[in-house]
Amino acid sequence: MAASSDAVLAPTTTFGVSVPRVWRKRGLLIGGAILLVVVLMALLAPWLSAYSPYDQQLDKRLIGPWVLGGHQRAHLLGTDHLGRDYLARLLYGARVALLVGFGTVAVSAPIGITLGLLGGYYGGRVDLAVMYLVMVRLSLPIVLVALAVVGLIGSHLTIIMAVLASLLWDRFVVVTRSLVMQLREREFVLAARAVGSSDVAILGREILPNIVAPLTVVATLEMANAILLEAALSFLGLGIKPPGASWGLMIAEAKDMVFFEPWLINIPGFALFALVIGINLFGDGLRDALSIERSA
Amino acid sequence: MTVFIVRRGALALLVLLTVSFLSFGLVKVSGDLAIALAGEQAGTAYVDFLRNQYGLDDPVIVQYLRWLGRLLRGDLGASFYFGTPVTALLAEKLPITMILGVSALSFAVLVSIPLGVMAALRPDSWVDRLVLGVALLGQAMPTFWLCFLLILLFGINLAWLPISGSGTWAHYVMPTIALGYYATPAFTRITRAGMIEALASDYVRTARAKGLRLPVIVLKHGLRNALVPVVSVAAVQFGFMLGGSVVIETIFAMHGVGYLAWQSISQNDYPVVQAIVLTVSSIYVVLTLVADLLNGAIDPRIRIR
Repeated sequence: MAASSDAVLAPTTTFGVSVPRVWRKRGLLIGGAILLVVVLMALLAPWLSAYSPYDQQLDKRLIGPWVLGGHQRAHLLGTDHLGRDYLARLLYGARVALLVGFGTVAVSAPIGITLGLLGGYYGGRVDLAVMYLVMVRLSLPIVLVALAVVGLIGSHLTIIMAVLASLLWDRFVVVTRSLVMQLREREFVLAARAVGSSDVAILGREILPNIVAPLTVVATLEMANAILLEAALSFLGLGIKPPGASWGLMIAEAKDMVFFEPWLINIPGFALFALVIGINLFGDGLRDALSIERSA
Repeated sequence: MTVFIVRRGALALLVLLTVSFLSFGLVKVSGDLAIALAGEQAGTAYVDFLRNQYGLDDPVIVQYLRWLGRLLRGDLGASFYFGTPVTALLAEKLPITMILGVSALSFAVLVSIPLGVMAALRPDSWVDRLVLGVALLGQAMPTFWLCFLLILLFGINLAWLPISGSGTWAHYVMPTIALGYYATPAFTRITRAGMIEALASDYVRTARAKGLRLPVIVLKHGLRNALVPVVSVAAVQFGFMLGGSVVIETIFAMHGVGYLAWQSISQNDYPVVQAIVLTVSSIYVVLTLVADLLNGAIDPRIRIR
């Protein structure tokens, strides 16, 4: 058990131990800026592009992006193999990515945090049961199971989010649990218990506020994870269905043209990469900002 | 130690049973097996006959136990699509994925341990920042985009490597990098953290005081201790790689279990999917069990937890 929990903890706890403070603040700013750009892209999609992401103009297929020296200024990022405006598809794809990221974590975080609070606070058999659930979850290969379940019950956006949420709660459990175990015997918790606070009050009012900062990092990591997994599912043809606009699907649709028009793959690929970097930088920065505030 | 082995082993067994029940459930909910066996055009009488014949109208728990019994004798049923026994299919495809997994793991370890050590030797230096930056980038890189970038560079522009298939060792180079790269951030961070801790410890200070040379201290006293957590991470990452190779095998047209899984899901061939999920999970459970027992043997403190 020690092995699996250490491994899961590793990416969140060992990172940034000694990253210089200036760099961290810069990370928060850069990450925040990237995130803001993508959020604005998603929200303002209809106004940022004159085209619909679904309208096919078969006489205007595979026009090179104007920004890369293409000849049609109307299509800043060119058009795909069906003559659909690539900028419009990218913008609407941002909606799917963000929705999947937020939607998945909104469900998986409460599940994981609750289990972690229970296991960490009560210990003993409760903890054993919680760790058993985590072990079962970890032993299931995420991509395979998500593919199998989505292939089985359909690939609606809500189903994709539900499947991902039911698979991505383990890190919340492990981090919450180990933090609660450290806090459980601290004076302020013992004091609250001594004055007769209920367990629910102790967990909610004393313990939870103290673990918000590290949990934000987990939340951002899992958000990034969910976004990458949705893209992978859509890439493999079992996520967002055509003609939907998902960055993973855009890459899948362009994969046969990788030799001739590599930009078709590089544009959504870079968008995905930038968004995930942005989320990770923002999460690390936010954690530091929150913990500095607490220690001051 | 015996108590530790028994408890840890029992937990692993319980997890395996749960996973087997879940993968049994996967086929159960995937549709009516009798209809799948009889074919679309079969009459209801024949479907009912098959249902009775295969015991598909028994209580679920009875069916599960019967399935488990067959499983323990090495019988995983037959593929709907290929018509051949699932175990034969797995025996044919698993070696490709295993070779890919082992080489990807070796690649990740060989790249990240030197990086982690370099970063740990001078925390906060530009080397350290560069290494952490690379780790951050690695985590964000979508696997399939990386695959295409590799294909564009090595497959097309330089034309050094074949871009699909699994016939020769050259076919494994790009998939190995693509699959292994994803695990390097985890290894780098854990090596760096372990190394920083080891270098700050009393035994390293003693070694320095004795006047040992830095390379000896780093390799003999530092790295050896820093590598203990790396073993556990390696077990976990190998399990993740087997499951995650589906994307890579699909892109590079390597006919391993990942590709087979993708194919079978697309064709509703759920006995095969079930067997693959079960196999990958079992490998993961066994590897983490072995890693935990190894750690327990090395470090007695772990046994108490």
